[in-house]
Amino acid sequence: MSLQAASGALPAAAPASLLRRLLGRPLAALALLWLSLVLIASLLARLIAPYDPLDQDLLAMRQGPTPAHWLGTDALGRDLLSRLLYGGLPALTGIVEALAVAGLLGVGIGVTAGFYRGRYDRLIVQAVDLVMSLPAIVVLLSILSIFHNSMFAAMISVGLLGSVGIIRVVRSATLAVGSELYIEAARIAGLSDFAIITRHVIARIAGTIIVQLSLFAAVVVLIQTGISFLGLGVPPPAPSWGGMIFDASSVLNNDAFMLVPPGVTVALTVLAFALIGDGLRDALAERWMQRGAGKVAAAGGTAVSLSGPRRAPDLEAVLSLRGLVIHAQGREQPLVNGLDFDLMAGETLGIVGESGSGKTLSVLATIGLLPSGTVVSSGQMLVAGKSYDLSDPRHLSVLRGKVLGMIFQEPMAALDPCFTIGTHLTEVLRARGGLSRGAARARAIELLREVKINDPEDVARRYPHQISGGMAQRVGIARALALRPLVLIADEPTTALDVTVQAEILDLMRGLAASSHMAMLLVTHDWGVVADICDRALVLYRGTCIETAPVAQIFSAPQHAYTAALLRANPHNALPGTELPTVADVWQQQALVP
Amino acid sequence: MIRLILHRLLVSIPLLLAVTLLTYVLDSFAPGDVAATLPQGQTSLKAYLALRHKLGLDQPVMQQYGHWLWRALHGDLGTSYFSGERVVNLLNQRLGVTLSIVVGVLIVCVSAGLLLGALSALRGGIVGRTIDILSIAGLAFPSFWVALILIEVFAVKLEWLPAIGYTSIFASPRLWLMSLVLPVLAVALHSITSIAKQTRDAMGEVMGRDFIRALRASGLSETSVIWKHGLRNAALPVVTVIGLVMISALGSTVFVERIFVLPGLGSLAVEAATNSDIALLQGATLYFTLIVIAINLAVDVSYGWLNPKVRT
Amino acid sequence: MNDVAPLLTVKDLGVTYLLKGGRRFEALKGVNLSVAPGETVGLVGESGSGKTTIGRVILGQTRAQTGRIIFDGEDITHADRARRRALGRDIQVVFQDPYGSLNPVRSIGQTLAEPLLGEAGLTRAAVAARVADILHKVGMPADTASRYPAQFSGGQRQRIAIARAVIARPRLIICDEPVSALDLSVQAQVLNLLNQLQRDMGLSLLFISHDLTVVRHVSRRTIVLYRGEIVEEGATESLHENPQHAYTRALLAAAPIPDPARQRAHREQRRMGDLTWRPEP
Repeated sequence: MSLQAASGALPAAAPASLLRRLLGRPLAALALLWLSLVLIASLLARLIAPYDPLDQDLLAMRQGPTPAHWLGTDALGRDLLSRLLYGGLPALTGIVEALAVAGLLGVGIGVTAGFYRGRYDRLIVQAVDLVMSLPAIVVLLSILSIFHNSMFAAMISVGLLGSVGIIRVVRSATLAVGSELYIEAARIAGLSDFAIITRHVIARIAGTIIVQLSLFAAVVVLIQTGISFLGLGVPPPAPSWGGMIFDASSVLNNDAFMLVPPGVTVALTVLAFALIGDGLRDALAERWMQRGAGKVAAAGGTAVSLSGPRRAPDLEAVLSLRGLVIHAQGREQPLVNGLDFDLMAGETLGIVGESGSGKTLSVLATIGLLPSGTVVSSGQMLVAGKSYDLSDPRHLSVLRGKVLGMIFQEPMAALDPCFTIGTHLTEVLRARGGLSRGAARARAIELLREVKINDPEDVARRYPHQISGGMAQRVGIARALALRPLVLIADEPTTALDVTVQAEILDLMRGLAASSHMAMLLVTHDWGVVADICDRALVLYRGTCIETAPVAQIFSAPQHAYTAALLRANPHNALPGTELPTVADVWQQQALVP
Repeated sequence: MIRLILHRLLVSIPLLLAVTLLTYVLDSFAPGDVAATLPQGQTSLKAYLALRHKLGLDQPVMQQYGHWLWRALHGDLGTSYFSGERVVNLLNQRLGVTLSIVVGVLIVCVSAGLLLGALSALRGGIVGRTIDILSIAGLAFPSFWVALILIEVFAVKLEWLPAIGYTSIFASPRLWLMSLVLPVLAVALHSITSIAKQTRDAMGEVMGRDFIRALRASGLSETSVIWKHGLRNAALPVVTVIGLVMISALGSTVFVERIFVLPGLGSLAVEAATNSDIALLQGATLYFTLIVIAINLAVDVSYGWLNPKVRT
Repeated sequence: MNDVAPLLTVKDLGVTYLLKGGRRFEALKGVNLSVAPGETVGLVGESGSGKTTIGRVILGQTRAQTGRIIFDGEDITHADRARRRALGRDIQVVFQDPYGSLNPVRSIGQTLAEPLLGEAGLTRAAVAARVADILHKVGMPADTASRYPAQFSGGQRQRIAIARAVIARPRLIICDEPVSALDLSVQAQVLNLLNQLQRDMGLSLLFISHDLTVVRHVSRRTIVLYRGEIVEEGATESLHENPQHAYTRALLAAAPIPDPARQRAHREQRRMGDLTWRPEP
């Protein structure tokens, strides 16, 4: 009772709309049309076929298409269209048989193995590996010689053999879903395994299952045709698609057209099966994939825009940015809207903002590495005495490494797992620094020592997965400094690290910046980090700079209400246990448009 | 690394046992066994039973299998019921042809597949769309149909290459090569597109990973980022697919050898199946399984070589 | 807190994971803690400290090798499946990742109804009413139930996850880094919501976090965990003002203060007092 009660709480999507969504996709609609056509024509072959498929007309042998025989005749004068229609049923029956076996076994075993893991799963994996290594066609030949020419036996075997492929995919999809937190939450909520499997796992991987089954159906068509091509399963003279291709092959020299009707029919059917899966998956996902429709803007949706006279680039600055505008492709609203800043020699400038403020995009734009789908619409950068147009990222690659070095938020993900730490450094030193192999090697060790790694020779030989996150960030810094850049850009460099490690990394960065008189551009959301290492801070809100000032001033006397609200929202500054002032309140109280 | 190879070899033993046992047990249910092979006029029950006894078919299946396995370990796979020849000799004569095709397919589809896949991942546009269309066509048309079309075009119409038949490499390397071109192409077309598609997906995924951006930011050239780091990482998932593609290509040789009248293992297996020549079919299955094991071993070794997490 | 019988007691809890290659990893080594009814206990530790493992053992998701978990006087260390499923109504959880904790293919209404499945005799209408009521309590619009997770922001999803945790009126909630993935502005809202629900419903919270500041804000009592062992435990204020263990001191010294002048002094103090934590390998 309670089960139904729960599902009643949800407004289920109307079942009819799935077909409509499917038909809304041209390729899927065509595939569905073709399959329905084949199905109906095969079922009605007796009624609609113009001739008996075995009738020989020795006066009309090997004719191409004629008004009497639309698709022509074969070497015995049999009507090709009629044979094609009659050949449809064994093919479709075979698909249904194989698909039923493979689907039941594949999904059943795959889901349970992935869900329960442990010994049962290991056993299944072994068995799957074993069957995967069977040369399927040879096994089928054995089956066909035992169950003499039984297409049914062959198709059941195809289903058995094919089920392992589906088990494999369904199992790994289930494994991935099984480690999701919502499965754990459902378990904690007291759902039974059966309920979790049907409601959460299968619902989540339905798309994968459908695509696998449809691809398998496509393969079954090919195998069924192949078996009848070999004269097994559907023994001649009974009509079959594969048999028709074999008939055509025996008269290849005289009449190649005979290859066309069965070949094209098979190909279109295979194609239709392959395509309909994709269509079904997408149509199913459409319901829950649509994004953001209900998203409430965090700050009352007021667009912030700052306009004023744009200052000329500061010639004293190491890096001077003017009028940076970044758009998502095809969107009107800019992600970064007219950002200016100057970074002075030896200075550390913090770019502070919450998610979606455009802080990371802004620094990525300076080295021309914006993610695909985002573009710089306009922006000028003055660095190392030269001016660069940021909307043309091709010219920016010369700056990378030599003028602007960069470190990233996920230090481990920033290293190529296939190469050693040493290689990461030497390849840069050799390619851009012009060092020889030996010199690069020595310099790499020196760099690792500079970032306070105790046993640099040992670390250089290791692969990324063999070092810790803090160590990986030190390596990242060493690589960024390899070519002695003027500016170090750090994108949330300590966010992924433990607080004790963060302190060490920040100490290291502060020390390196001071000793080499290097300027730093630090992107962060953490006001503690800003207070610790920055000289000046720039507060970004929705792509617009709302305030920039020396850190002492930002913290003691923030000019903008948003900055003040953010600082107040930090529990560090609140009395424990009290209600924290939230930023949304501020936007609501005073419709803040600077 | 050596442990990896030893592990795979160790795992292969139960595989080999399971496959041979499975086919052996299945085949023992085959109707009409050797009686069909007796000469006309000798189909008395006595003669039939005598033959069964001579072949050991009156013993329990497991015992027969034990005997078969014992002899197999000593290089004896019995005699063909149909031709009376030693199965090992028949198989060894045919092995070279099938291996030639498999190796040819491997070379063609790996080089073409990786290149096309990487190109289409990077360029998109026309190359990408062409590979899409080709991969759909490669999937949709049966390999034997493609083989027939190739014969029609290159052998019948253009007369560039032989339509059927096989020349040993020892007789004439040039004719050997020419006799292999069409069969290899017929099988490879399917495999190339699978590998290209996989490479494209893997490459697309890898090029979106964080470390690619970090490598670019460190100042490395695009060439180095793409072909050294991108392809190396993309190769990992592709290697697994190459193994599966090669196993399925091995299956396709059955059809292609028949169409091109090549004296390989595949056509031998079809003959054995049509004649219910069980001993021969078992032998052929064993050989096919051995080739599969070799493919799996090669996949494991290359995977370990490419992936330091496995190696270290 | 000694005058009230604790709602949850963890006694001498030990968990060992088997790693690849037969190596063993001791995630927890003899942990003792208790949570009183209506109390919030903060559990602080860095990665690898075992703080998440404690939560998982209490929730029955990881097996304890040694020790006991006592909930409301009942030993639930080795509760059978049926008892565990029933306990789902009493002990709930809020995870860190608001994206992974909601199944994208299930509507919010379906997800929120799950903890109610164990309650006998609830009609459809009653379930729908409970869902609507709890959505109102966490400040989400009424039409939320028919929507899917993809349509909500991280902060909104965390509100929904909290709604799922409290809908069956549990007595204890394990909060595993519930605000770590959220922006400062959203974090404040979620902390306020948790505080308010705790007061209104008389909940006990085990608040797991790496962030001492957040823990100080929500809990009167704090436990510091390091490599599977409790190194310090006590009233939150005294723990902050007068930390006893070297690791707690290092942790406090490493956390930056959002005030440049104070942070400079704080940093100098860390360096002078050699408060940089150097873990033995």
